[in-house]
Amino acid sequence: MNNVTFKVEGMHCTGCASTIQLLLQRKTGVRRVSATFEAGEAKVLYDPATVSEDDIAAAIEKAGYRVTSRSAAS
Amino acid sequence: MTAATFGSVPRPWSEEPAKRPGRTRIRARIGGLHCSLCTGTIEKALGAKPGVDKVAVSLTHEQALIEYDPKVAHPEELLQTLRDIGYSVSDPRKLRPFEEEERDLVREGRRFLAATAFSLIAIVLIAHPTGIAAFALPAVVIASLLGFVFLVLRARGLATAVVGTVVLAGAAFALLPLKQQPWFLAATPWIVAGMAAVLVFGVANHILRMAFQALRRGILNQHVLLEIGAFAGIAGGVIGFVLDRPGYPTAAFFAVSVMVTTYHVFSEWLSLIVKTRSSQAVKRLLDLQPETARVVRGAEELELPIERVAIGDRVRIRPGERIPVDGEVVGGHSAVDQSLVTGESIPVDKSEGESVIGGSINGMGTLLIRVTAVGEGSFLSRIVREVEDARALKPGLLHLVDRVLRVYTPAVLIISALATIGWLLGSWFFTGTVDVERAVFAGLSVLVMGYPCAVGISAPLSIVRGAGEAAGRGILMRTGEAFQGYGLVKTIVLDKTGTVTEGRPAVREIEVLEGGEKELLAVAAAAENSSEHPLAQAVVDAAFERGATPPEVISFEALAGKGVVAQTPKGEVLVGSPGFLASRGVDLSRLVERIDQLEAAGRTVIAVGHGGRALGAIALGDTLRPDAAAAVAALREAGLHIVLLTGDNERAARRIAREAGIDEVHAGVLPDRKAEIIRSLQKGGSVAMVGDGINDAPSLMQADVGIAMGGGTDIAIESADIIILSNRLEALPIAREISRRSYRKMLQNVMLAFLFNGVGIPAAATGLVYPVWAMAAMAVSVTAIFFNSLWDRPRLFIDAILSVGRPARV
Repeated sequence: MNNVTFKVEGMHCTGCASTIQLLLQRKTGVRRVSATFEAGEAKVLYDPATVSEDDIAAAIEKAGYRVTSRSAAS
Repeated sequence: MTAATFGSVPRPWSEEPAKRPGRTRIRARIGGLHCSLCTGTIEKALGAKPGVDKVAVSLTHEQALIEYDPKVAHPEELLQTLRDIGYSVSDPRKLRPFEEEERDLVREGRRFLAATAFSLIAIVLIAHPTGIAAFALPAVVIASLLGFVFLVLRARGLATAVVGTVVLAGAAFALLPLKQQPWFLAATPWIVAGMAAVLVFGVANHILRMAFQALRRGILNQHVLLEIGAFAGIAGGVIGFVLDRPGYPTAAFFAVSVMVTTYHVFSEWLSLIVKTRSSQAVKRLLDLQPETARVVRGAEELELPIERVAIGDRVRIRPGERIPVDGEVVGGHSAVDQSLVTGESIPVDKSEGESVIGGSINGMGTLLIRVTAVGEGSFLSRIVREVEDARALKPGLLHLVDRVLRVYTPAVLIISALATIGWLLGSWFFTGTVDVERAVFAGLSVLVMGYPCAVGISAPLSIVRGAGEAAGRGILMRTGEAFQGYGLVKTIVLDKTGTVTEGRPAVREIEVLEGGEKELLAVAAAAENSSEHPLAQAVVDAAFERGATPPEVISFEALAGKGVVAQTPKGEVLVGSPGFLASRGVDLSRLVERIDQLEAAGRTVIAVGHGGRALGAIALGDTLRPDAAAAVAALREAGLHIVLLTGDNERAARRIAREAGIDEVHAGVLPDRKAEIIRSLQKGGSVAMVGDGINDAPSLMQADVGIAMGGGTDIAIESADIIILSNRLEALPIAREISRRSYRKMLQNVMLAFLFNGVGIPAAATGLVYPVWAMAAMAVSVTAIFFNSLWDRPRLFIDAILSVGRPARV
């Protein structure tokens, strides 16, 4: 299990945040997602055996947002 | 006739087991309940029959419940009594389809259109526009009537509406030059008389019938009052023909008949729209799919309707499904969510030999159950019966307008009689000759003046307004009780699980022996990650929220009802009940005291061990809804007494009550006792109940005002007067405010409606007022009520009218 926070640029409102949340939740291997507009980030808990950090970042970028940094929680 | 064919003859009632031995109980749907006075009449008429013990009639649900001794009374005979006094009877289990309801609405709309056209022509014919006032009044009435025509036709397309309105307006104006012709003037009374006859006896024939039925049962309701006014108008006109005297308002008398009937048809139509829309909105919330069960017979699995499942059948229940029947588990294991049935907030593990209740939701495992009860004996049908009981015992509410009419109608009749007698005696006393003509004129004028046209629209308009406001806030107000009753409620009873709380477990406290909270959660989440148990999912949620990263897991094993064992590169992780860890040799002695303490506070505790050593414990519990405390505070502020009612245990209930700020708690209440508690609370004033579960349904029905959460069970929604679609508790004080406001509006409207007649009647009693003034009073009072109800939100009314033929969506 990995717990990674992605800094996301390009969210305009809480609607964008819920779009990202829905998008990531649909991916297999992703267990929990919490995207917030205020913090400009998406926290993701996922199973690294099924899905990679790059896959998740790509999914966010594909929707038209930019991932500026990633940080794994301890 | 054989037994089989006899059984297939449709009976217009459904039979239910009675509370008392030796009695039979039947339920029938009644058509033709036109006002809240009807309920009392039916109760009286049936109650007088030999062998009948109990009769209860619900106006909102249009149903009657009759309990009788089958040795003395017969259902056919009892229902015939209902038909004899003019009601229709049908099977309560049949729902009316949307199309049929819409057809009714369209038909009523057509009647209104015809009546409006008649009124328009009548006004043009009798109006003598001399002077500003005499011109302005008919002009305003004509303009508003044309507006209605446009609105009614608008639902069928803009072109139809424009053409229809223009044609009608053109016809009205075409009459103006004709009025200059002497022959036309002579024919005018005959034309208006013809229109009055067609309208009263033809177009509004249904009202005449209803009025006749009501009168026969001794009810003086709006329909009776209308027909009194309409017939007085016709009588006045006929007298005019007989006397044939210049200056006598023959045409005006007939025109008043046309006008009062038009307004009445309009108010009937409006009430029908209001009623249909609210019942459709409720039906949309219900899942009307018939329930089925997956019955295993031999190697086969059959999907059968619930009625065909027998005791002893084996039924397979898949993950996430609703358990359709009561039974005993014979295979598989799963955590079953019983919160909607018993109010217990934490899912219960079920394995072989344990019983499950129909209506609870299966967790992630597959179960095979043996059916132990079906039909009348099952938990769900027991609840349905209790709802019916509660419906019968629910305190009735006499609607405001009916309450006023009970006094008003006889008063009008008496004043009319007094005016007639007064003129007869007065004229004889002062002049020596009896002025019969003047006396009859005065009496008829009082009757014509007596019909408060605007009263029919006063309640529906305030409901259109209130329901519209409520809908904007995610609240569905369904019944008269919602508008009249909620504002008067003294006590509000809240169900705990799912209403005051979220209804699902969450991590509440963490007790750590080694390392930090985050590490403990990370280890626990790693082990629980693969388990679909709701408690396990709550642990994973908590770990994620705190940003804890679960370590890698190599293998995993779940032991039903106990816990999980996970192998990690750093050793074996055990997560589960304290007893399970102890049995695996983990020393919990340092945690025992804390665990006991948490369990005593109503929490469910799981312990975590790593490499044979205890790491700590995690306490889980149902959480308060985020808006619960604020909503309770707002209700208390409004002066309400707040009570928490739950089937869950005392400890959990007390804790939630403390957090939400509620003083009175009734915990461990079995479903069949909930309604009883409401009944006892009702001795101290009217009570509102808020709930969502199956077990709440009887108490929602019993309460003066039942409020269901929109996400609740079908049976709870059906039993409620108000439905909170937004699922937010903050809607409770908002709905109360809307209810109070609408009731105030209704009161104002009714007062306005009677005010003009109140002034008009004494004036008419003098015999000096011409019937034209009755029309003026009508126009002014109807306009005043429209303004009072909707002046800032006309859209609500327009939308309601435009929705005819296009059922509203929730």
